[in-house]
Parts: sequence; C-alpha cells; structure tokens
Amino acid sequence: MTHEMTSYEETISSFILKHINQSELDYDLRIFEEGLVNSLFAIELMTFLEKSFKIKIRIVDLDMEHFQSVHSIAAFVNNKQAEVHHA
Amino acid sequence: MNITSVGVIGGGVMGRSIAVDLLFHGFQVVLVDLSGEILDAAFQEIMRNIRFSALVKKSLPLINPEEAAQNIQLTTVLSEVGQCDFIIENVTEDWAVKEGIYRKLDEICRPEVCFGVNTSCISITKVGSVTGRSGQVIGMHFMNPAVLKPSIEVIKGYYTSEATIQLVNQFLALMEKEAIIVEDLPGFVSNRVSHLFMNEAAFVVMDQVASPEAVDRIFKQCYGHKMGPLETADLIGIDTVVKSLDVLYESYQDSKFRCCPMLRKMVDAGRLGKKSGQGFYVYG
Repeated sequence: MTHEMTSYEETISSFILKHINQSELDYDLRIFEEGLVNSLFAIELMTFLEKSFKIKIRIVDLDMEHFQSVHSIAAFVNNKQAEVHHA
Repeated sequence: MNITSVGVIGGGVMGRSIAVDLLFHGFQVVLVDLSGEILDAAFQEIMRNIRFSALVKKSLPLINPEEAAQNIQLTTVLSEVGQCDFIIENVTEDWAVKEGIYRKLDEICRPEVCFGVNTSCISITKVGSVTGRSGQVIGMHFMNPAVLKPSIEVIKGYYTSEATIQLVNQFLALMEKEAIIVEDLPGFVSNRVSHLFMNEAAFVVMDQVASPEAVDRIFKQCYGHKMGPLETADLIGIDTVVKSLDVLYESYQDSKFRCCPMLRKMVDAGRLGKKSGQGFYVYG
C-alpha cells in the first residue's frame, strides 16, 4: 500500500469517526450497510472528499460501491487523484 | 389547476430539503427567507444535494446543477411568491411568526392558490382561520431528506376541502410521493408520538441512565430504527424539538409532554444539534 493511500484512509476514517462519535473503525466495515452512517451523511461525505482531496466528483462517480468502506473510499480518492495527475 | 411553480417560505433545514425535491421533479421554485446570508447558505446546500443525491437514490432524474440553478429564485421579499401556483411554508414553529406570514400570503397570492403548512405541531385549522381561504389550507408534514421519502403526513384542517386534498394528491404524485391523510389535532400522528420518544430519551440521559450513544444504539440495533431518538432530535434541531414540546404541552395540558430541562439548557447553551455543530453529538 502506498504512503498516500494510508494517509487518505486516516483522513477519511477520522472524518467518519468524528461523525459517529466512536474512537475506532475497521477500514473494511461497510459503513452504510452496517447503519453506522445514513444517507444524509453520504452528501456530507461527498463535500468533504471534494474539499479535502481537491477532487471533482461527477455524476458517473455516484455509485455507492465506491463509498462503502474506508478502504473503498480511499481507493476512489486515489483513482480520482490519478485522473487529475494524468489530465 | 396546474402546479408548475411553488413558493417555499423559509430556507432552513426543511425549506432547503423541499426545494431540492421540487427541483428534481421539474418545478420552478421561489425560496423566501429573511436574509441574503441564509439564502446564500441555502443555495449552496441545495446545489450540493442536487449534485450528490443520486448517490443515495438511483431513481432520481439526472439533472444538470446549472439548469437546476436557473429554476430557483432566492429572495427576501415575500411578495415575490405572488405568481406561484402553490405555497409550502416552513417557517419557525412560532404561532406569531406563522400568523403574520399567512395574513400576508393571503393578500399576496391568487385566490385559487392553496397553502401547504409544513408544521410539526401547529393547528392547520388555526392557520386556516387567519386566511380568507381556510378550505385551501392543508398540513403537509415533509420529513428530511424530503427527496428520499416516499410518503408525507398530510393533515386535514376543519375546513380543508376535498378539492384541496385532491390537488395535493396530484401534486404529490408528480413528486413521486403519497399522502397519508390524518386529522388535525396538535402533533398529528408523527410528532405527537416521536416527541415523547425524544423527550424521554433526553430524560434518560439527564438521569444518567445511559449515554446518548447507548440510547440511540438500543433503538437502532434492538428495534431496527434507522436513527435513534437523540440523533433525530439533533437532526431536527433541539430548539425546534423544544418548541414542539411546548406546543404539545400547551395544547393537551398533559404532563407527559413537559419538556426535559436538559433540552432547554442545551438551547440556552447554543447546542442546537447538527445545525450548530453540537447537540447530543459533536459534528465535524
């Protein structure tokens, strides 16, 4: 795993933990399915990702599979960052 | 009557949520609030929701945020809803404020226009009584986020006409929603029951029986609710919950609706829930 991915995961995890008032989070846990967060949080998460990682989330990106867990969200951010760098 | 434009009075949590829902369903929206600052914040939030709501509801039409922005007018001038075909009012749960608004709306709007009162507890019959069109006043209790809810609680005032109920049914069908029609007594069904949960949950925390997290986990993990009562109170706004409890207490004169002192203390401390960044929980 790259240093960037680890750092993305930490940032994302800390944002989610703040929201759910817990101190630990399994990076593979499916946060929506497990009821840790709800649909309102999804909109906040998108805003947070755009601001924190300077990415632009497009309509085609709006697939819940990308945002199920800390791992999958970090992978999504990583791909978006790669798009930016290759553009 | 064909409804193509809707005046949304109040750009707070519910006004924004309803505006998003209306824009997704092709209506022209005139959103009114007291200050440009509130309207700017409302516009930003509405646009965020227009961009991202498809993530949580796949069946929503894909709309271009720039086009959606063309379909909403933001104003601090109430008379600008004068050309709207329908009104949805979401101002604060304060009778003095609502009364003033309805008296003005009655003068501003065309005689055939119906008023949807989005209230938690205030009597629809009472709202109707300060207008010259009580048959066209109906309660429309939307829940947040409006765009994700398939139904709303619709409240018949004493004089609400069958024609108004039919019109609202047609309007809601265009918004892909169904009306659950109930009679007009304070708190209707939803808030008369849910505020007992929220208030008693606050007492439980005040009495140190359990932490807010534990209370909410019991409702979510044992009862299967999507949200616990204290998360819900934070989402609604602690000040709004207190106001609704006061209306319920005053209306029924029943001590079961006496507001938990800790809720009042939270309001005094500015811990209003999600909108202020802190309530029972702290928000990023």
